[in-house]
Amino acid sequence: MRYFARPLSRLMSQLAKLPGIGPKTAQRLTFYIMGGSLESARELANAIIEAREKIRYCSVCCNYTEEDPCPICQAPERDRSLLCVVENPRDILAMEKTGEFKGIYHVLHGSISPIDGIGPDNLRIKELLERLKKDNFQEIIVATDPNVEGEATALYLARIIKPLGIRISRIAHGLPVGGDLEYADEVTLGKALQGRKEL
Amino acid sequence: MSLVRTEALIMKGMDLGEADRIVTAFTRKKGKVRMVAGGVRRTRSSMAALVQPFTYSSLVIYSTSSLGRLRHGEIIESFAGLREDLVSMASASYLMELVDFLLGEEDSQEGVFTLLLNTLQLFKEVGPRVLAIRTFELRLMAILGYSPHLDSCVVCGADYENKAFFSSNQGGIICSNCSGGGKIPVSLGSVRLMNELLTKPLRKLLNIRLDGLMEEEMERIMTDYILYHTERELKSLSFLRSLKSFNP
Ligand SMILES: [Zn+2]
Ligand SMILES: [Zn+2]
Repeated sequence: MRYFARPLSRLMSQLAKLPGIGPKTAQRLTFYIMGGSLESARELANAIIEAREKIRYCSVCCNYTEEDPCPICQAPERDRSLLCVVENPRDILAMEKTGEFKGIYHVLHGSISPIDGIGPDNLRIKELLERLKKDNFQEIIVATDPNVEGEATALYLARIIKPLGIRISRIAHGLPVGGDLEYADEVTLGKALQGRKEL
Repeated sequence: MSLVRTEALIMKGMDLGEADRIVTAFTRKKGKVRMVAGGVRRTRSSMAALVQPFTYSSLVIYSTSSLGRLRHGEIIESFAGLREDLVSMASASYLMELVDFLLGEEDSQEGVFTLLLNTLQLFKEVGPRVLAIRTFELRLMAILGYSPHLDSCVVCGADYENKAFFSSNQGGIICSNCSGGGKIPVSLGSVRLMNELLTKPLRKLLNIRLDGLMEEEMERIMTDYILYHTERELKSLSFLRSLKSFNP
């Protein structure tokens, strides 16, 4: 028995594919969109397509960007000798909100998780090493999540970067073990950044 | 539906929604259990440390027919050191993946729980020794009923001589008369050692000196034997291998 017209169930199943959205939420969102104007539905659809079409990876730091290089990589006031390595673009937002960091970034797009089959080759580590060879950095700050995958990623980076003779540090665990960096409040994260230690 | 209190070892986790995780644990009472751990990705969550892989704890789980829910728990041993060393982390991940792969959900196996706990404890005390990993593999297979036949030729029953082979397909040692080729050659020393790994107390095995040839033989045999039963290579193995060949 079909409960919903085909276009409705199509929308629901598309929404249900998104992370954190189950069938119930997908239904609720679908009926919310149906209750709104055609114009706002179009606005939403166009925003998704525009973001997907216009956003690409920054050729320097691998962050999502519309212009290449991204605004942070282009900004003249940023300290180009300090490089902060993060797991994903959302972590840059969190770091920027602290106002503590004036350097530039590198986005790995993930973290090492052997049991899930995610190794160094699946991350933007090759790109990072190329940057380290090309540019002169005083210090690499590893700001991966304070969980087992983030820790493993930091240890791996230390293993390959230390032999290059570049100073590498890890943000301090002022944060409780096991959380996601993007949920830390600015004060905690700012403290963690000040208390970073050498790897 | 019921509340269960049990000792548990965290195997792995997967993000769910905004701040939750689906956590897989191996429990003493109920074997492998999957449960939702609410809010644990928030950096201020009190349960965040509890669901980190390898953590040994006592958990209270609200158990339902499908996915359980973690109510609360206390850490007994965090095994934090295993997460602060790459080879330990990769080795422990391998143990967890092996158990995850070979055991179904809610298949209560207290022997497996004890073996897992003792091996992690050994990793913590003396590091992730190759012998401890081989012992774990052999004993896990034995508990699950796949103990390899190591006393004599598995085909003709002839006593073991100097030259022999291991066949995953036949499940043990094959003498040179019965071997049709294509098997893994194995030395007398390795066979004896594998027998000891199956029977002697874990801690006594630490004093055994392992030469490079035996280490290689046993790794080839166990990798092949496990692959025969799992039918696909475990994901954590390639990372573990890449660390060994890595010389900074
Ligand atoms: Zn950039
Ligand atoms: Zn024979």
